[in-house]
Amino acid sequence: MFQFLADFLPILIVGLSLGNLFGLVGLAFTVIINACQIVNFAQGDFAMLGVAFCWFTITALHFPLWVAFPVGVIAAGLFGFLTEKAVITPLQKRGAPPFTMILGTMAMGIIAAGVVGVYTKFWWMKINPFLGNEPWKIAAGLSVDHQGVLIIIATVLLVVGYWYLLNKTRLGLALRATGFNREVSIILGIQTSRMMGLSFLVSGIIAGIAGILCAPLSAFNALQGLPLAINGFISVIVGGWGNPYAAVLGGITLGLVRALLTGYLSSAHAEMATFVVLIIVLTWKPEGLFSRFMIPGSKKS
Amino acid sequence: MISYVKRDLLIFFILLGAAALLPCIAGEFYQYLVRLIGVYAIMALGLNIFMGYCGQVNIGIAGFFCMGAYFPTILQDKAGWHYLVALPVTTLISFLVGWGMSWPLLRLRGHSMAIGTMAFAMGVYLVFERFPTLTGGSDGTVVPGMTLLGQTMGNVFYYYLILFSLAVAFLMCYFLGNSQLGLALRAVGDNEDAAAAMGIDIKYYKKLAWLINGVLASVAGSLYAQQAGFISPDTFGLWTNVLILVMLCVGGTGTILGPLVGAAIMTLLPYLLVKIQHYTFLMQGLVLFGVLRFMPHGVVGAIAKRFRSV
Repeated sequence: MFQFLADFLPILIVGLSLGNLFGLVGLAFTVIINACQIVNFAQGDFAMLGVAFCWFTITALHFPLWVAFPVGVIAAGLFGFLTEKAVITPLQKRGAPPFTMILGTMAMGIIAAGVVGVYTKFWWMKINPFLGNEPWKIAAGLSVDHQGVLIIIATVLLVVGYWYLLNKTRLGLALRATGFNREVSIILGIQTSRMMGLSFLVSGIIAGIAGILCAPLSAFNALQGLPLAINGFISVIVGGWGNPYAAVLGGITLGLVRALLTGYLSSAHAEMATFVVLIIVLTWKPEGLFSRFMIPGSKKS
Repeated sequence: MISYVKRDLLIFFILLGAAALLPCIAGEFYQYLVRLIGVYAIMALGLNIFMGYCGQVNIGIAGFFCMGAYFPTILQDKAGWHYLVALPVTTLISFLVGWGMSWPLLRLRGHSMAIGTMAFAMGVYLVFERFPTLTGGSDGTVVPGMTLLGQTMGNVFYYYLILFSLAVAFLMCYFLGNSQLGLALRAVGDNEDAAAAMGIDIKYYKKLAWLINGVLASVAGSLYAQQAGFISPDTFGLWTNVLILVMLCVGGTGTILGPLVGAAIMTLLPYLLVKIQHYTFLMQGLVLFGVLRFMPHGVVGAIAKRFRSV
């Protein structure tokens, strides 16, 4: 029994931390989806940019982590804001079709990856684990990596914070109204363009936090943004479109599936499992597994 | 309208004639570039049918490209088939896979379709990367050369094979775009509900466009593998999907010359910047950004508009 637990607990922690990471990126996607009905394919590059700034502040400017972390997060948020102003607003004014929007955000992502790539020569950006290299020893032969635990804590805090912003403040009401119906929101005096900018800022901040927390676990380079964004977006689809809590749950589902496959079968096909899960969900339950979770006015599932 | 369309055909054949004469004057490197442009242009033409005409989103074109490259290699290598037999068989396999995948994928719309097709491409990529005994895994595999009438075929043969395939693909897309079929596809792309109200079978036309896009990408893959002589999964990764999409968008979606122009621009760009290699990625992003912001219909669309207004 203990042996089973000793095997299972690290797998569970890895799965949860990976899942929460995907979930955070999914949450960042959902913030933008809720406010502007746009999928932002540069999401992973926001995270990558956050990692790049954090890494730059630590290695080139020799600041400690607690200075570098906010610098990276703010840089990611500002880049999100810039993306909205440079691509989304002009394209939306022109009435561009959805795939032009996708390509527009992707263009900003490629530019960010290109700039970082020019500076780093597409080399790895290494950030040391926040609490040292030694894992926590819970019992004899049972240790837990605390970077994963940090990711889980951060996810819980961010989800609660986002829930508070969305449901308990006037700003959140305006954000929700903008996503629900833009024209009516304008009539009611909500500055929708400001709301869209804000949603990109918040989304960039969440993605930046996710990226920097993940950077010690898996090395980041300039091209790592898009794969992260894809995993995040898959967790949005698996969880449920436009529902922030469902996105996190979808991410956790994916992370657990991957960790269990890696732990008990083989690591070779774990990556494929993500796409198989996606295709299955798209075929059998296209609205997502947890689409009604915590949405007011609907039954809990 | 007719005159514009005929002008496109004329421009294409002038370009094709120039390309056909190129081996007489230019070296191997320039031929290599034209071969690459040809392969990418075939793929972008197929994507244009699905995205430009039919209005759907496909970020998974590299999945078909990958299948098209690997199946003939495996069939030649392990089963000893001739390339000219393996090519149609591969196309048939890709057709069947595309037909099977159309069931889950074509029910989606917009963003879900984007991620669904991308997942398909990543799945194909992973299949070919994770079975090293058959495909050489991530180290790649050597594509066996091809013999015809007792002679080993060289690069010049592949050059003309690619030009010939490009001409066939272009004429197919050209006549399809101007036929009743193309009209129906455009109607689906403009407004699905209105098209359905006009009695157009949306599902049928979407499936048709998807299969054309898959088959052309598969043929492009087969040609690419044979002319390169070596393939590894890296060539068919995530960024290839994006690159083809960028080519189409830079050239101009929904125009017949757009895919060719886009393929040429995006293929030549890294070689123009070969001195500052790290900047390639940044330049591609900037080109895409500039085209999206300032030329809504791509380079071809912008040029056509300029000429029309004069």
